[in-house]
Amino acid sequence: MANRGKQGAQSKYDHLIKLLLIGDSGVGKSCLLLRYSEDSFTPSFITTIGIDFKIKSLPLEDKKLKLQIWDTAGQERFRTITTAYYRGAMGILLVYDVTDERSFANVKNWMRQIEQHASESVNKILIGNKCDVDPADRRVSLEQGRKLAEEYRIKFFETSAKENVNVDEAFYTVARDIALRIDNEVDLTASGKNVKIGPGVGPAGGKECC
Amino acid sequence: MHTSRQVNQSADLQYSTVLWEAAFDANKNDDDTEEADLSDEEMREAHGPSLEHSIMVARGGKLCIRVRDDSWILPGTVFVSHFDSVSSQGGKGPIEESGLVGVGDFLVRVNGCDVVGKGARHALALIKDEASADSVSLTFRRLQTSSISREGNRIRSEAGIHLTEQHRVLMFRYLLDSKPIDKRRLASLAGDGIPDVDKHLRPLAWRILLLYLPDEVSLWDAHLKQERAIYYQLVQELTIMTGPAASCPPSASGHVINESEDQNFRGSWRAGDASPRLDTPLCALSSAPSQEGDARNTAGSMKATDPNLTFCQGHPGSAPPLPRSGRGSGELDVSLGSSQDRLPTRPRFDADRSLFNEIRKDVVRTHPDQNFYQDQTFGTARYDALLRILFIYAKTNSGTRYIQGMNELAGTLFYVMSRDSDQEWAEHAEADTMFLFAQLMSQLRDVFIEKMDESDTGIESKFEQLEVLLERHDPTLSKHFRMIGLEAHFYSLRWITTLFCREFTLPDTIAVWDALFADKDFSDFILYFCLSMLMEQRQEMLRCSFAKCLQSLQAYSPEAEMKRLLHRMRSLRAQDSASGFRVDRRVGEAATPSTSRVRNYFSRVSSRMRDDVPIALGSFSTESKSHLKRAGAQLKASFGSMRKLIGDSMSVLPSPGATGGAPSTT
Repeated sequence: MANRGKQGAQSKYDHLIKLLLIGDSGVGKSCLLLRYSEDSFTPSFITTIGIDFKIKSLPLEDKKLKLQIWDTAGQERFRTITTAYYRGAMGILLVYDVTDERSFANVKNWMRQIEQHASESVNKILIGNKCDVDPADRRVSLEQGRKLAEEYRIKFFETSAKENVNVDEAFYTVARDIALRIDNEVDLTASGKNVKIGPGVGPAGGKECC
Repeated sequence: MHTSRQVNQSADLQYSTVLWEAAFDANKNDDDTEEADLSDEEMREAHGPSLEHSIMVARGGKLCIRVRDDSWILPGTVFVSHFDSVSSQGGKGPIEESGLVGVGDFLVRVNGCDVVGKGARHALALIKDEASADSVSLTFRRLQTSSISREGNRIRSEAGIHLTEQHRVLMFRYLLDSKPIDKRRLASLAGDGIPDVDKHLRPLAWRILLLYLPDEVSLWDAHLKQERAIYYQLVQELTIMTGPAASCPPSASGHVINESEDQNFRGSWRAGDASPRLDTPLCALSSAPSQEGDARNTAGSMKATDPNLTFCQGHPGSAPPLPRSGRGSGELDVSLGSSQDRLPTRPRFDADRSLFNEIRKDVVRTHPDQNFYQDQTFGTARYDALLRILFIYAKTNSGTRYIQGMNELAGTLFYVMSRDSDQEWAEHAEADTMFLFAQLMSQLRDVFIEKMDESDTGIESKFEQLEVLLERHDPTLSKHFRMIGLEAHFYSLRWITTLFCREFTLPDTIAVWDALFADKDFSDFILYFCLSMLMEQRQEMLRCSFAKCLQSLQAYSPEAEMKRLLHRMRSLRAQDSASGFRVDRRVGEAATPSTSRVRNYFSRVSSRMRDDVPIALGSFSTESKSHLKRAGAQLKASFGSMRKLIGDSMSVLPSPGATGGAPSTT
C-alpha cells in the first residue's frame, strides 16, 4: 500500500486493533505510547489520570492496521476503573520499570488482573522499560525479565522510551500477532471475504495470501 | 406578589453587583427606565424595588452615617462607608438602627432628588439643606440578589458598563478590608474572576472562599498561627529534611518557612541549590517503628532491607540538579528513584516510605510546563514543599490518603499561594496550601475515593449525571455519543477529579477555580462546566468518529474561550434551576440513563464493577460475577454507613468547615 499510515487515509484500514498499556505507576507507559505514536519524548510528562487514548496507523505487509492504544493510570485506586477496558482489548502491553523492583514484582498481580478481566484470547507482551539506565541503577536484569515472560509464555522486550529502543518493535510485534490471530479466526469461521486454505499464518510475521 | 417572593428566595443567593451596576447606569436620570433596559423578565423580577429603602430622619438628630463617593461603580456614586456610633457606649444611629441599611449600600435619593453619580458633596448639601423640610428622606439601595446574577457580561454590555480591571481591584480591596467581610458579595465578585494585578487578592480571597479563614477577621491571626503551627509540627514529626542546614533563603517568590522553625526545617529550602547534595546517605534512614505514628521510636539506623524502596538505591554521591529544560533528560531524571531523592524531604518512619514514594513519583511530574516548578533556583524546593503538603494531607486523612490527581490540585493551589505579593502571607504558602487543599478535598473526596465510586456522590454517579445533563441539553450530541459509544467515563474522569487543570492553561484553570470557589455547589458547577465543554465542541464532535471525538476531548482545544465556557455553564444551570431540575435527583430514577450501552468499543464491562453493588441504576445489574474485593459490599444501602466510616477515619486536623457545605456562601 503506497500510503503508509497517513492521516488522510485513516478511515481505510484492514484491522482495528485495540491495545492496552498497563503496569505500575511511573514505569513509563505514557512515555512508551508517546514515543510510539508521535516518535517523541518529553520530559514534561504528567501523571495519567484514568485513561488516555491514542491512535496510530501501522502498515503490515500489504495490510493497514489501525491501532487504538489505551494508556491507563497505574495507581491502585484506578484499578476498578481501568479494568473496564480490559475486555475490549485485543492486546495488552504489561510494562514494568527495570529500575524498580516492585514494579517487576507486581507483574504477577497485573497478570492476575488480565486473567480476570481480559478475554482469553488476548495477546500479551511483557515490557521492561527504561533499559537505557546506568547499570548501577538497574534492579531487574534482562534475564529475570525474560525468564518471567517465559513462565507466562508471552513475548518480552526491554525498551527505552527515552532512547527509542525497541519501542516500535514491541508494539509492532503485538499488533502483528493480533492481526494474524484475527486473520486466522476469520479463516476458521470462514466468514470473511478472504477465505484461505491452509494455515495461512506463518510464525512471526508470516505471509498471508489474500 | 411574585416579585417579593423572588426577592426573599434569593436573599441567600449571591449579590449581583453586576445587575446593580446595570440598573444604576440605566437609572442615572430616570428610575423607571431601568427596567426597560433589562428585557428579561426574570431580571426585572430579581431587581424588585423592595431592596430599596427610604428612611426618614428628623432634622436635628444625628445621622451617624458616613458616605463616600469614590465608588467603583460610577464616578461620584455615593455609598455608605461606615456608621458612627451615637454615643461613646457605641449605640447605633437611627439609620443603622433601622436594620435596613448596611455598609456598602448606595445612597440614591435625598428628599426625592436623585444623587446617583453626583457625588457625596452634593448629597450632603441636600441633606443639610435646612430649607427643605422637617425631616430628611434618604433612599438607599442594596446590591441586588438574584439567581441570574451570573449573567454578568451580557447585562454589562447591555447597560454599556465596562468595568476596568482597576475598578475590580478597588472593589475587591474594599470588600477584603471591610469587617466583617461580606462573603456573599465577595463570592459574587470572585465568580467573575479575581483581578490578577494585585497578587494578594486571589490568595486571600481563596482562603476566605474555601472557608479556611474564619468569618471573624479579628480571629484570623490566632487561627492562622494555630493552623500553621500544627502543620509545621506535623512536618517535623513525620518527615526529615536533609540537605545542608543553612541561612534562611527568603526569596521574592515567598518560599520561606517561619523563622521559628528549626534548622532542619529551614535547611530544606536550600534544596533549590544548583546542585543539591544529600548529606546523609539515604540508606541511613532512622529505623522505622513498626507502628506508624510512633514518633518516639526513631533511634537506630535502618538497613536497606527492602530493595524496592527507591531510597535505598545506590546513587552517585553528588547528583546532578533536576533537569530544567528537558533536553534529553526527562524520563529518567524525574522518574527514577535516584533523582527523586533529590527532593530533600524524606519520611521519618519506615512505614511511610511507600506512601511517600508514591506521592513523590507524581510530585515531580506536576505542572512540568510551569516555570514556577522548573525554576533553576526554587523549582526543587517547591516540589519538595508540594511533596510535604500531600504527604501531610495523606497522613492526616487516612480515609482519602493520596490519589493521583491530587498533585495537580495541590500544585495549582500552591502556585497561587506562593505568588502572594504580600510577603507575610507568602511565607506560609506551604502550610496554608495544605489546609486549603484539605478544604477543597472536603468537597471533592468522594470522586477520589474508590469506595465511593458507586455512591450518589462518587465518580460513577458523576458520569451518569453528566450523561443525563447532556441528554437533556443537547439530545443530538448525546445521541451521537451513544451511537459511537462514547461514554462520559472515557473523557470526564480527569476533568472532574483535577478540576480542569489538566485541560486548560494555568490562567484559564485559575479563572475556572475563581468561579468554582465562589460557587455554592461544587458538584453542580463541575458537571455543568463539563457539559459546557462538551457543547463547546459539539459541531466538531458531531462530525467525528469515536476515536476523533475522544482524542479531542482528551486534548481539549486551546482555542476554547474560558469566558464563553463559564457563561454557557451558568446559563445552562440557570435554565435548569429555573425549571426546578436537579440532576443529582434525576439520575437514580432514570431507568436507562442516557449512558450508552453500545459496546462497540471498550465496553463498560459494567458487570465487573457493578454486579456486586447493585445500586439503584437498574440497567447496570447483571448476573453476578464475584469479586472478592467487593464481596463485602453487597448491601445496596451500605453507602451511607460506608461514607460515615470513611468520614470518621479522616481528618485529624481541625479544619474549619471541612465537613462540607458551601464553600463560599453560608
